[in-house]
Amino acid sequence: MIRYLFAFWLLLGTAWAHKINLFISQEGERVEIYSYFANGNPCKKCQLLIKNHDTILLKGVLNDEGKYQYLATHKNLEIIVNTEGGHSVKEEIETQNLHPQNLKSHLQSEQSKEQINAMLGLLLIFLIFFLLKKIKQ
Amino acid sequence: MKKIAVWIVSLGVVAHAHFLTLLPSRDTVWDKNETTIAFDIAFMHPFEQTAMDMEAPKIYLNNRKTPLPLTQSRKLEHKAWRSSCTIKTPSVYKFFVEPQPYFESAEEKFILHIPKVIISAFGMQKGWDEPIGLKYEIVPLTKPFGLYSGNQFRAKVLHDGKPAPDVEVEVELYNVFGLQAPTEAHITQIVKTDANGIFSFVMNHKGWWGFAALIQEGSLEHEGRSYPVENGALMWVKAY
Repeated sequence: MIRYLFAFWLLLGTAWAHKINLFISQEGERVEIYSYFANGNPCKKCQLLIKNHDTILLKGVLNDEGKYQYLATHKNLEIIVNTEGGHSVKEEIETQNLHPQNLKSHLQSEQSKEQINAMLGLLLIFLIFFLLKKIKQ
Repeated sequence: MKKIAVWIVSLGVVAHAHFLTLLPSRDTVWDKNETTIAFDIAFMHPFEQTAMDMEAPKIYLNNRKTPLPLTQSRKLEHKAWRSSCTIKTPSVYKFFVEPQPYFESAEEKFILHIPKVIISAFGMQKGWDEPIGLKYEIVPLTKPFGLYSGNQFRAKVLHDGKPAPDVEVEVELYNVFGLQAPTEAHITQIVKTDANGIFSFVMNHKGWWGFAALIQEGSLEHEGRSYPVENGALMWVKAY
């Protein structure tokens, strides 16, 4: 029993040693995300997920310094960083000085992105049909 | 008779170790809403909680290029000092104080102790084992924050950047708990550094512990006479 407890304690120790930290600072709508290990190593290329409630706003990757700069478009953000090894850290923040105009333009750009994607899809389908028709001739 | 009385009083003073306290309001910073650290700076006997007047020192962050503001205060009815620093980014922060030399007439020497304290902010622990580069310095070999009572504190004493062997290290608890020492001999614990300048001590009570490695070197003038200088490399560590 003591052996198992010792093994569990060792595992806990290992988990803590690899604990990642998340430090978020804000300047206006600019959100600076910095993730690092206790020994000072940055969380390189770690997965970044930014959510507003259940809506995913961004799926990204931290740079070699463990950082990411995000322009906030929603007031409430949940920022999650995951390592390949399965360690995870998250923090919920309320962004400051968010301009409603930004949110509107963000939604518009997201809408136009969706429209462009739909048009590209249709164009691709048309091209496939066109090529098939050409091949048959 | 008068001479004997003075001698007895002097002996009593000698028995009590002097410490320059540099006590921060916290040894780690986690909460973004509580990032300002306040420092209490005083010259005192920490276990007995008695103090001396202290003239204006200088307090620095990491190096002498970054001084911090200072305001006068009172500690145990004596002149003391306060400072503060607001932490903004994750890092390990090293604070140290340079006092004016204190002439201790009872011991016929100057006391020049330079205390330091190390604070971790937002989970960053890199660099706590690196020296600042002081002439006399205690460099921890045990992570100097987030410690429990019962932990052993190990450190290396450096003199001009080199390990200082056979140096006396006085240790006292900052006794805000009203603890009574069984005898005078229990107030200041003493350990000595080994051939590599390393010492260790088990902190058997929660609270701030002061470690003072004492190296007598140099001399200073007082009223036309030359007196030796007791240089102290000090470090404060908190046990929970």
